[in-house]
Amino acid sequence: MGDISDKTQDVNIWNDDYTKKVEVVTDGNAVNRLCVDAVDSGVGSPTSTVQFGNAFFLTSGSPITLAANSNFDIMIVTGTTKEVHLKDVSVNVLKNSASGNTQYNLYEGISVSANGAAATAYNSNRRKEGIVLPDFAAYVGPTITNLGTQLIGYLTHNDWETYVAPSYTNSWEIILKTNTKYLLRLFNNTNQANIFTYLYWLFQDTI
Amino acid sequence: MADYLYKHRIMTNLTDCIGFNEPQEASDKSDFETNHKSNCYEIDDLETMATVFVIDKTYSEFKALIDGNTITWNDVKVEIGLNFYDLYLLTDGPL
Repeated sequence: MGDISDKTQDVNIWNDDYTKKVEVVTDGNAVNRLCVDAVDSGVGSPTSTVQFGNAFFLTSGSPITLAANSNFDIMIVTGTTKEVHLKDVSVNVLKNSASGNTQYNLYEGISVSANGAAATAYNSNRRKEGIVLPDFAAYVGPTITNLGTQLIGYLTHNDWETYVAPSYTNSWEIILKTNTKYLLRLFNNTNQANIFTYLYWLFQDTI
Repeated sequence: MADYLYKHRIMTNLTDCIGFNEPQEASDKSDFETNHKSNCYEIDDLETMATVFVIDKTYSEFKALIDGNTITWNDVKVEIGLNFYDLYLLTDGPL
């Protein structure tokens, strides 16, 4: 291995088990600086985020039939130790009704009197399930007392997938506030039952 | 000339269903199966053309369209889905 203080020699860097990220900076003053940091976050490519177990998804086991003029609500309660990114929202509706519309809505800072049923956030790296835990909790069907601030009100396509946050085509994402309740709502604004599917994808990162 | 398609969906199984009035759906299902289903014409699917106006009705509203004289349950088409009945009534004028 070369001497790191000698600019004329290459420096070999051993990256143990790929658990470290390594950066070498040459500043032109005959000084090479070597920085080695632990990779401890979801920052980086989506693939590495998934690999380190910092990506999670929420979805239903099967399509949901939503009654006329009804909501399907999922509440996400962010924690305090990680930065949670709402990275992708996709909703698909098999629209049966002749009239009205179907919507995806996002609210921030809601208040509830009951959390509802706990929902499972699956780790996108299935080998990290139960090992890397989400710094947020998810619930289905909370009892809402205040809707807080509406961030998104979005008409879904029908019989076609709506990507509110098409993360695979651009860098759109929302970094959620810590220790805050968010509401992800499907709204069947028609007078007939309609079938919905949804997929919410979240990353987390050290603050 | 445009046609008019009146429709209603009765839910037959409320597994993975949210927000329904369960007793009402059960009552509608029972009424339809007991009194009307055998008279309807069963179809696999229904495709509408551009000149069809589609109008949603509740079950009670849909039943009120069937006057028993000019329109009977024999005129009603039913599509049987995995967890629903879709009722259709096609007319050449508004009811």
